Amino acid sequence: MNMVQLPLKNVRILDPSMWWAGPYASTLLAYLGAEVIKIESWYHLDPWRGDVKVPPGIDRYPDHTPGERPYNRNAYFNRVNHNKWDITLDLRHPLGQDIFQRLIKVSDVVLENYGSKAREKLGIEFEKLKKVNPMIILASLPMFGLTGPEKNFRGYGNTIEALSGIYQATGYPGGKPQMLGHTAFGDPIAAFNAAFAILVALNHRKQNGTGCHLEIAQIEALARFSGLALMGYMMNGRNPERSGNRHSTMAPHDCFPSKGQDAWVSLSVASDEEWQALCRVMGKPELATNPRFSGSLNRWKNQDELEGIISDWTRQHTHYEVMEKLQKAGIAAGPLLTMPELFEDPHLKERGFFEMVSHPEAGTHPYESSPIRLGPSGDKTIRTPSPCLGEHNEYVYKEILRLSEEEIAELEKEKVISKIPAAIGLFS
Amino acid sequence: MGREGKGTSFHSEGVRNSGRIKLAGLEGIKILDLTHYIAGPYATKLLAEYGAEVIKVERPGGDPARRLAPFFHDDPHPEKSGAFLYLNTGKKGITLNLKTDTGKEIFRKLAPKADVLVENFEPRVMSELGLGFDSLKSLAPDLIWVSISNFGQFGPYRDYKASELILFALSGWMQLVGEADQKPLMSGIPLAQFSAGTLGAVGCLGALWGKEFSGGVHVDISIMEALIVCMESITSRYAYNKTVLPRMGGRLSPCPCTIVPTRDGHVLTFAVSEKEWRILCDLIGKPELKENPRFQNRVTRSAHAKELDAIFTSHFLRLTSQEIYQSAQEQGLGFAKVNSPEDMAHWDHLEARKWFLSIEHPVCGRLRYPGLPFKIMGSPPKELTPAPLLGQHNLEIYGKYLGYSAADLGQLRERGII
Repeated sequence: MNMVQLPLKNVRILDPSMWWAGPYASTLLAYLGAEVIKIESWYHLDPWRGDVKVPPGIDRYPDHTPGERPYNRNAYFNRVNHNKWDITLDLRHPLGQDIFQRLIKVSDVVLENYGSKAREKLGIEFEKLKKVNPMIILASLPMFGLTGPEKNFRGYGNTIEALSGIYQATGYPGGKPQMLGHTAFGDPIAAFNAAFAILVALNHRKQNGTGCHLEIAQIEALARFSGLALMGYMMNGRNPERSGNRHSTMAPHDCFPSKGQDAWVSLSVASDEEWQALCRVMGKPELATNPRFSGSLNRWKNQDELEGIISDWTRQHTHYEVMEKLQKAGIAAGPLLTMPELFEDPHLKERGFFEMVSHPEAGTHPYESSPIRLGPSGDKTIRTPSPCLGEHNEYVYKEILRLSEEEIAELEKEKVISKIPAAIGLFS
Repeated sequence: MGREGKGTSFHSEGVRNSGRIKLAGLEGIKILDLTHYIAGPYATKLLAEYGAEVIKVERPGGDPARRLAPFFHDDPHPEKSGAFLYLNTGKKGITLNLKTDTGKEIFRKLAPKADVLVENFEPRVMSELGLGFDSLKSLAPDLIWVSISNFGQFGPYRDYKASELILFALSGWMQLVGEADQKPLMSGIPLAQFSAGTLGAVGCLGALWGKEFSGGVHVDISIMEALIVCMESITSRYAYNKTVLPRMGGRLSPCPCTIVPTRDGHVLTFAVSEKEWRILCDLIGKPELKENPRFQNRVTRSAHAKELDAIFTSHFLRLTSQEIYQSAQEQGLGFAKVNSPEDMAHWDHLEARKWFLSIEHPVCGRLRYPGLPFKIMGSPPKELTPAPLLGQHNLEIYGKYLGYSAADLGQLRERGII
């Protein structure tokens, strides 16, 4: 990555967004070279930092220890805010608004994910921004959109996952809908789409000569992922059934128990040649000629029986061994990695996917690299760790805005750029 | 990371707007699209939706996605796959056999005409054809090349076979989905493919923006990695504290965050803060739960989650999902209905926002399609053309870019090249 100049080096983004979706959108663009200035304030931390006072024992802090400034040690926050500056700025204060406008004048994009009331209170409205800088792009990430009967409904990533058809599609045959375990991927998907939208808007600005207001309704961005099922409904008026890990035509296509406790390996067979290869690897050549399993339709009809046969073999090997043996024979297979295995996986290691990053208050830990590599190479994509609260006030106010010592003293006196946060009451 | 000048760089010749009609943004950007199945086509679909000229190059037998269900009226015809129709709106389609020498020659002539090439073959394929990034470098030095593959362009698994199931397993995600006492579950939608496709579109426009100073860049998207970055609330806790979370079925922390049956389906119950928990107790008419020490905070609620499930279920089973969704949202709780495609297709909110698009296709007629992922306020969306029929734009594209006549194309067709 050092070989090429980063392509977005001439793009500056002001980011007062919070939680995961907005901040990760600007991080994706920061990986590609954009200069991102994250805006927080003493009275409203990014809640992804957690709260100001936190009891010990929570696993989001290194060694379960929140420390003196837990908001600088939070794993969630520190994972998704790489490569950006962080300033504190009270947008409710007239002096804060004045500074905000000066920042807008020298920026390309403002990114926000507030509700309509907060947008108004903080002055992050397109009509206002446009008067300050007609070329500015405002990217808004409302959950349900800026219009429509449910525009003021609330939600988190999981809310829109349920609404977008994903839980309905996931589950054991005949069982209830399932959630996708411990994460809220509605957020990162909104982030990917917001990053895309901002790049489209930069081109749009080039063509039309003005900035624009982007509305990334998170529910709509995510609902597209159910596009195949939606097309099925539009064409044939039917909803799909939940089918566990089984495929509509391929068999076997599932996960099977492997050696160890709660250890599993996935495999799928796409053709007769692959089936014959699987029989050879399992040491059961007689199966290859068994008419009950010849042709994908027969395998599909008899997959309950197949499940037992394959499980008997996979149980004798570790999940990695099964992958090696089957991939060598040209069959798609992969272990269900646990977290310890994922962080040690040899493929990800060679790709340098987990980058060791030292954070001044949280210590040294592995973090995922950018999912977009320019290269292709294993070069590092994380240039600076996620910032501490207000860490770059001095740089941004002095170097970028060229404020005088007196102006800065005034802002400090008025508490506009205070770095001493108030509790946000998220957990009480 | 200092900022180097404020000027905007102008890549490709682009299209400058003369005034009246607002352009969608990507007009004038030419994409040579060698993708197939889901991830790659989704990336180029996004680009086409905002105005890029996407030229989809199919093998003479067609993109294998043409054989993917669902099919219009359940007829497995190559022009009736709902998957193909959805993933290829707004594109132009040509055919080309890259396994023939003439086909390769034609490809080498086409590539320099494009700003971007997008492909999602297994990484070995393009170089084996003699058409790898390095071999095109001298012909098209500024070409942005976007590769989307299962495991990325390098690394020990590079040439391994995979599918949505395998990638979901290897990402570490599958182990965490499903009930503790049953086998793990994969996602019911191709989450990995769509995620990587979206990132492919981001990488494409990012690299294109800096073309003047970065030149022709090879963007490497690994579908496995695209999935892992969606799991930060899991990986971050492992990275900091070696936390290994269990499979816990339809339940997340902070409790309650659970799927509960209703009179006509399911809802997601959700209370993140203590304030929201108190609102929830009132919503179900059980304010006394607030005082119950078993439910006094998120930790104790998690310990008694089954008991809570039973309380919620007995209340919500009497109501419809819509009633629960509406009343909880009115109280400020982030509840959701567990929607089916049918529910989504008839959702007032999306209807009022005119989200679904109506597109006429020559074989399947007029159908409603999922709409755009974002809007540029005040700009009407671009009219989208339907997915191309196989080879539909051969004459137009080969004529426009390479000057081929109908007779030339007839010959190429006979030789199995297009």
